[in-house]
Amino acid sequence: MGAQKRPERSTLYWIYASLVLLLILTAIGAKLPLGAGAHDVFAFGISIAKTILIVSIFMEVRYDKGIVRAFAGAGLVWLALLFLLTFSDYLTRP
Amino acid sequence: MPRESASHIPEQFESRAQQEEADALGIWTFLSTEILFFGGLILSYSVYRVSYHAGFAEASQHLYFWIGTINTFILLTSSLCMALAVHSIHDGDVAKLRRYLVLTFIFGAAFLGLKLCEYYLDYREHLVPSVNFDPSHFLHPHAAELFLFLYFAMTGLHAIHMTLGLSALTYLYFRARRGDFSQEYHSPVKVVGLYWHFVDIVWVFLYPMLYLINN
Amino acid sequence: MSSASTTIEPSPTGPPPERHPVTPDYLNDGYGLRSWLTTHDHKRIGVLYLLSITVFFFIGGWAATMMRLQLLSPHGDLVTSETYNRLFTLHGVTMVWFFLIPSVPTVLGNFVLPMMIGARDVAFPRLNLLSWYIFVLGGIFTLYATISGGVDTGWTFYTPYSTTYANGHVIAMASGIFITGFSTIFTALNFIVTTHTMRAPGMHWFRLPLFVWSLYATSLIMVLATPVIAITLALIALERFAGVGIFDPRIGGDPLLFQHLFWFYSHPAVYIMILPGMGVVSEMITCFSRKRIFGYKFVAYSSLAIAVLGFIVWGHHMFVASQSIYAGMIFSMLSFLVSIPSAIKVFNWTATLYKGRIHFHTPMLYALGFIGLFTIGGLTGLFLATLAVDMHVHDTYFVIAHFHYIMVGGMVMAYLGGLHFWWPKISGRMYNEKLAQFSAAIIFVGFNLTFFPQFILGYLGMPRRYPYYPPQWQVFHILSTAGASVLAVGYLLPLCYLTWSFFFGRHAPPNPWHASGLEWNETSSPPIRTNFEKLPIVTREAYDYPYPIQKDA
Repeated sequence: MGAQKRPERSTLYWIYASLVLLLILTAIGAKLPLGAGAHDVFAFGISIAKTILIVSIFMEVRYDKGIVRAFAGAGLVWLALLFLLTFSDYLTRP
Repeated sequence: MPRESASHIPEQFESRAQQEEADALGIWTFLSTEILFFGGLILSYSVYRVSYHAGFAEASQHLYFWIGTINTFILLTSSLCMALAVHSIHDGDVAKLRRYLVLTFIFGAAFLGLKLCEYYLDYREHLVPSVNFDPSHFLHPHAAELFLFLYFAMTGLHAIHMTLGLSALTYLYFRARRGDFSQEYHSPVKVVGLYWHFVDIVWVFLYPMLYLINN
Repeated sequence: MSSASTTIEPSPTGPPPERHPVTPDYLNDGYGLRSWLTTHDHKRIGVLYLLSITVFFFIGGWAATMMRLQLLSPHGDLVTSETYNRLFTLHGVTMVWFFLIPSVPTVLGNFVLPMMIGARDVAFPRLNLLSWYIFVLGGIFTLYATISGGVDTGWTFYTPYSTTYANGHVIAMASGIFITGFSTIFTALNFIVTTHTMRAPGMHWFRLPLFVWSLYATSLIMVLATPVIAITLALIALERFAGVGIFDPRIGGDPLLFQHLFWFYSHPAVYIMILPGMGVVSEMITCFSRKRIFGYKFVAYSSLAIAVLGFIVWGHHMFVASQSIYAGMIFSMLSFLVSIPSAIKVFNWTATLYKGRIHFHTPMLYALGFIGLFTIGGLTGLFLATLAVDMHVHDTYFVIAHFHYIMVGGMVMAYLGGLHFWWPKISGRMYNEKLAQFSAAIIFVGFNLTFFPQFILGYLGMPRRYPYYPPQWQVFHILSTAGASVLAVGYLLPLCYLTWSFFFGRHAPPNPWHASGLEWNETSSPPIRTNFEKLPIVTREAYDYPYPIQKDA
C-alpha cells in the first residue's frame, strides 16, 4: 500500500489471459482419459497455479512486506495441519 | 465523529501509513479465518472423496459442467475488473474506479444469477438432498447424497460470500461517488479487493473438486 | 509518576488525587446509557464485557449448583435424568463460550492491552464495539435455547445424537455459539493488528509485558481455530434441519469426522482459555516479588509454542472413539510434547519467586494458587495423554477433575487475580484488602474440597454426566458438594465487595502497587479516555523492578 511497487496495467491483462488459458486446460483435461490419480494431480495442480497468479499479482502479495506475506501464508499452513493429522486417522484405519 | 475520508486520520492512529498497515494486516487475518472456515468443508469433502471415489465421480457427472465452467470464466473476469479498479485509484482516477467497480459488480451478479438458474436445474433433476433427491438415478446413492449435500453446502456458502462481496462493492461505489477516495487514501478499496480475490480463489478450487471428477 | 510512599500499600484516604482539570477520566467522559452503548473506548468496552460475562458466570454456576445438589444422594431425585443432561450442557456451554473464553481477553485484555503497548486504543475500535454486540446477540440465542427447554447433548454436541436423535433446541444453541464465535474472531483480529502496528516508539517486541505476548498467542489460536467450530456447528444445524447430512451413518457418513472437526477447535480452545491467565500470572508474580521475570524470552516463546503445539494434539479426546490406533499414538506423543512449554512457565515463575521480596497481596494469593493448582491439573493431563491409562479414566470424573483444576483452579483464579490487580485502574478505587484476602482463601479451600474428591471418584470408575451412582461413593460426592457451597460463597464475596468499592471505595492512586508498565506509570486511575496525555516513548525493559522503595512493607 502507499508508495510501494504494484503491477502494471498490462501485467494484469496478461495474468488474466493466463488464468483463462489455465481454465480451458482444466476443462479439456477433465474430458480426456487420464488415469484417476493423474487426473486429480492435474486438476489440483492447475488450481494451485491459478491461485499463485491471483495471490501474487491481483492481491499484490509479490510486492508486499514480509509480515503481510507471513499473514497470507499462515491460514494455509494451519489448513495443512488439519488435513495431515485427520488423514493420519483415515488412512491408517484397518 | 468525522467520518474516515481522504483528509481525516482516525484518532487511534498516528499516521496514514500506520492505518494502512493495520488495514492490510487486518484483512489478511480475516482471510486466514476464511481459509479455515471453508477448510472444514473441504476437509469433509476430501475425507469422503477418498472413501467413496467411484460414488463421487458418478455424482459429479450429474452436475452442469458448462454452467460451472462459464461461471468460473465470469468470476475470473470479475477479478480482473477488481484488480483494474484498485489499479485506477492507485493512479487517482476516481471515474475509472467507479467504472470498474460497476463492472466487477455486474460480473459478480451474473455469476450469482447463473448459479441460481443452475440450482433450479439441479432441483428439476432431483438432485437436492432432503428436498427431492432421487436415489434411483445412481449406482451409489449414498455417496451421491453425501456429494450433493457437500455441493450445495460449499457452493451455497460461496454464494453467501459473493452476496456479501456485492454489498461491499456497492458500499465502495457510493463512497467513491462521495469523493472519499484518492491516490493518497483508498485503503477500503484494497481491502474489498483482497476479499473479492479470495472468494474467487475459493471457487477456483471448488470448480474442479465438484465438476471435474473423472472416473 | 510513582508516589513517594515507602511501602507498597496504597496511599491513605483523602480526596481523589489531583487530575488534569480539563480532561475527565474515561468513566466520567460522557454519561448515560447511550454514551456507553455507542462507545469506541476500549476501556468502556472492557467494562461492558465484565458485566456480561459475570451474568453468564452465575448462570453457569447455577447449573453446577443444581448438579451438585442432585449428586448429594446416589439416587437423587432433585431433577430427572433428562433435566440433568440439560443442566450439564448449559453449564458447559455457558462456562466455555460465554465465560472462560472471553474472560481475560475481553475484560482485562481490552482494558489493558492498548495502555501496555503505549497506544490510545485498539486498531479498530468500532470493530471492538461490534464484537461486544455480537457476543450479546450470541448470548441471547443461547439463553433463548435454554429458556425454551435447553439442549441435552453436552457441550460437545456429538453426532449422530445431536443431529438426528436429540430432542431440544440444538439449532438455536448452535447458532448462539456460531454467532459468538465471530465476536471472538474480531477481538483476536483487533489484538493481533494492534500489537503489530500500534506499539509506542521504543516498545520493541521483547520489551512488551508478557501479558501482551500471551494475548497475542491467544489471538493467533482464536483466529485459526474458531472458524472450524463455526463451520462444524453450521453443518450440524444444517443436517438437523435437512434431516440428512455428512455425519449421518445411514448414508455412509462418519460421526468421527464431526469429532475431528470439533476437537480441532476445542482443544486449542482450552489453550485460548488458559494462556491469557498465564499472562496475568506473569504480571502479578513479578510485581509482588519485586523482581524481573526469570527467563523472559523463554516465557514469551513458550506462549507461542503452546499456541502452535495446541493445534496438533486434538486426537487425545478420541482415543477410545475408534480412531486409528496409529493416529492415537501420534496424538499421545504430541500431547506429552505440549506439556513442556507450560512446565517451562511454571519453572520460570518459581525461579522468579526465589529470592524475591514476596508481598501477599490478594492478586499474589491468586497467582500462587494458580501455580499450584494449574500444576496439579497439568500433571493429571499427562495421565490422560497416556493411552493405556486413558482407556480406564476416559469419560470419568478423573477427566472432570483434571480440567476443573486447570480451568477453575487455574483460569478463574487468574481472572480474579487480574481483576483485583487492575481494579484500581479500572474503577479508580481500592477494594477492602482483608476481605479480599479472606475471599481468596475461601475460594482456595472450597475449590480443593470440591474437586479433589473427583479425582478419586474418577479413578474408582464413576462416569461423567451421570445423575446417579453406586451408594459406596456417596461420601466423595458429599465432600464435593460441600466444597461447592464454600466455593459459591467465595465467588459471591468479590461480587459484593468489588461492586461496593466501585461506588464507595477509597480513591486509588495512579500506581498503588508500584508496578512496572506503561498502564501503571503513564496513566491516572482511572485513565482518561485517550489513555495518555502524551504518547510515551519507551526506554526501559519490561519488569524493571525493583522500583525505588526505601523501606520494606
